[in-house]
Amino acid sequence: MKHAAWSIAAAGLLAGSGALAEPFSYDPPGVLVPGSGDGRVDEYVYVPGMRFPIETGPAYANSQVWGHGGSEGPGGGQCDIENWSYPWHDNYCETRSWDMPLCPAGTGHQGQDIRAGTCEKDVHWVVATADGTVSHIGSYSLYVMAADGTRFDFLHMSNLQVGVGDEVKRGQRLGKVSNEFGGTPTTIHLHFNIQQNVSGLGTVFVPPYMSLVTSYQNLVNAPPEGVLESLTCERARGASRDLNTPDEPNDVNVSIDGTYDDLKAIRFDVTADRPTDALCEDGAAPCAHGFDTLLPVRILDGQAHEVHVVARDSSDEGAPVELGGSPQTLECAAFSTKDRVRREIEGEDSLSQWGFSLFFDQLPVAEEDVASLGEGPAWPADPVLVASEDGAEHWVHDGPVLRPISDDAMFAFRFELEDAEVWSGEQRNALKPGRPWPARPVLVAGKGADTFYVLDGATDVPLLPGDGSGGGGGGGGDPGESGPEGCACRTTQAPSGPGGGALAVAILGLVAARMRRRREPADAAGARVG
Amino acid sequence: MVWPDPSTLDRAARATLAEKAAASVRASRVPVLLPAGKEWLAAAVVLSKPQWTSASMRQGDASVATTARRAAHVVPGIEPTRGNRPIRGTMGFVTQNERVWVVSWIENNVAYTTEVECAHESDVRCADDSFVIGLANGLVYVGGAFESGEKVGAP
Repeated sequence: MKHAAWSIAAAGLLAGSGALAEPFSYDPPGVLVPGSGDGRVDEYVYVPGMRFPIETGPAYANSQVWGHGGSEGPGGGQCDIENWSYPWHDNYCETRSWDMPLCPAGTGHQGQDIRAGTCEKDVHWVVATADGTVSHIGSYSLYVMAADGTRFDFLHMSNLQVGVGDEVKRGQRLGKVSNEFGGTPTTIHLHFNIQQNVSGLGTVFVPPYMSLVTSYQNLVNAPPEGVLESLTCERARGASRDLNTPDEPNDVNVSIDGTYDDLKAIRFDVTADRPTDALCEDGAAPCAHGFDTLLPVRILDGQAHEVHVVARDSSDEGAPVELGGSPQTLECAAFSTKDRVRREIEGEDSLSQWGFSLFFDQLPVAEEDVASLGEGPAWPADPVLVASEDGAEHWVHDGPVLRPISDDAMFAFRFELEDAEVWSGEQRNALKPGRPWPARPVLVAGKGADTFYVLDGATDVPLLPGDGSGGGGGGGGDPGESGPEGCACRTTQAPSGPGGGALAVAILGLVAARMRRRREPADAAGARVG
Repeated sequence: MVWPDPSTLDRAARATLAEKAAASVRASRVPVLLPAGKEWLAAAVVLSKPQWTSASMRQGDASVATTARRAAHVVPGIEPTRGNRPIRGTMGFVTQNERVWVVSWIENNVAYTTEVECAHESDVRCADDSFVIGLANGLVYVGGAFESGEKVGAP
C-alpha cells in the first residue's frame, strides 16, 4: 500500500534527477521489507518542522541492509535502480539485537537509511535539520543537538564542514553523503537518527520516518503562488496555481477579519479554475487558474475589514501562501435598506433555483426592520436571463417587465451567459422596460425560520398584484441597482507578498477573466465555507 | 531535578578538564557526569545549554559522547517503560547500531546517555557492551551550576 502520492512534474524542481516525473510515495510507517523485522506503526511526527537532511531531492529512504547491495538484500549491487526509486520504506526497528524500547520486539534499528539523488559518494550535501550545536563528531558520525535536547545523528558522511561546538543553522551544510564507516566502507547512504528524552522512557532513538516524510514533502513541494488582482466590496479576483500540479486547479482561501486558520474569521475556499488570459497566452502552462468570487454582503457595514487571500498547497502538506497583493483592508459603505422593498422568495426550490447563498447573500437585519420595509411582489420563481440577438445586452424577465442587467450583476446572480434566452426585439418589446436589475442579491430573513426576502430597489414591478404602484422612491443612482461600478469603499493594499512570484508578473495587467458562471445552489462562486 | 550531594563531587576529575570545559560544567543546568579517566577528561569538549549538557571526547580510534537532558518530550500514547539493564544503581537501556554503543538511564531526574563509537570493527572496546557499560558505571560527578545549592556558573 502506498500513501498519498503527488506529482513532482514541474521541471527544474529536482535538478539532476532521473525521477522527475515519478511522484513521491511512501509505504506507511512500520511497514518494513518483508522478513526484516517488526516495524513501529507510528504516524506521530516527532520533530514537526524539521528540515530534510539532504540538501536537494530526490532522495530515497529504504534499507541499506535489506536492499540491493546489502548483506540481507536480494542481490545485485548497491546502485540498483530499485534502491533509487519510490516508494520509501521505513527501516526503523529493522531486526537488530539491541534494546529499542519503542520497537515492537524491544530491539531494532535506531534510525533510517537514506540514499541521495544518485549512487555517488561525496556529491550530495547533508544539511542541518534544525538550528543547533554540533555536540560530537566520531569517526563516521556527527551529532547536532537542538535547543530542546533533540539530537540529530548523521552517519557515514565525508567532507565535514563543521566542528564540535559549532552553532549551525537549519539547512547549513554539514558534510556529504558517503560511505565512511571507519576502516570498512558501508554502502553509500546517510544513516539518520533522532534521539530525544521521551517522558516515561528517558533518552531513546525515536522513529524518524514521518518527520522525514513531512520534511521531504516540504523539500520537493514547491509552494503555491498567485496574485490578488482586484478586490472590491463585492468581489475578489485573481489567479493561483501550484507548480506541483500544473494541470490541476488549486484552491484559494479568502478570510475576512482574520487569517485562514482563525476560527473567528469569515472564511471560505474558492477553486481557482477560471480561464486567465495571461496564462493562456503563456502557452506553456494551463490557463484555467483564475478565481473570481463574491464577498459576503455582510461586510457592507461601514467598518474596516482586513481581507487575506491565500493559495492552498495542492498536497495539503505545505502551508498556505499569501497571494501577491494580499492582505488589503476594505472599508465599505453600509448597505442601506432605505427605499428598498422586500420580495419574498417563495419556497426552497426558488432559493435553490436562483443559487442564492445565505453565507454570501444574507444581510443581518433586525426582524422589525425587515417588517418595516415595503413589500413587493414575490421574487420570480425561476431566473430567466434574456439576451439580445447579438448577445451584447441582457435583461432579466421580472413579471411584466424586462430589467437590464450589468455584467457585474450577472456575476453576482450566478447567471451563465450560455443559459440566456435569445429574444427578438419584438419579443422584448412585448414587455415594458423596467428599472435596472439589482447589483447583487441581498437576502434578509423574515419572521420565522424559513421566510426570506430579496431586497429590491424601486421597481416598475407593481408592489402588490394589481395595485400598479411603482414602489418606494429610490431615484437614479441607487447603489442597489446594477450599473457602473459603484463601490462606495476604500481599500488599503499591503505590499505584495511572497506569493506573487512569477505568476504575479504574468497576471498583472490581465484583461478581466471572461464572464462565465456556474450555477451552484447555495454555494456561490464555488466557494466552500469554512 | 536532584543535585547530588556536594560530597560526591570529584574535584580531581574536574581539575583535569580544560578551562573552557570546566567553565561549561560550572554553567551546566544539570549535574555533569564524565568518565573518570584523565585521558578522556583532558580531551573533553563540554557544551552547556539551558536544556542540556553534552561532552565529546576522543581517544585514538574511539570516541565517547555523553548527554544530559533536563527536558523531556511528552509523546501521546507512549507508556512508561523501565530499562532492562542495571546501570549505575538503576535500570537503563543498552543499544548498538553501526558500531555505536549507547547506554541510557535516568539519574538525578535527568536523562543521561553515554556512547562509544569505534572506528574499526576489530576494536575490542566495541566488540560488546562491556566497555560502554563500564564507562557509564564509572562516570563521576564533576559539578554544575547548582552544585552547592546555589548557582555558581555563568547565567
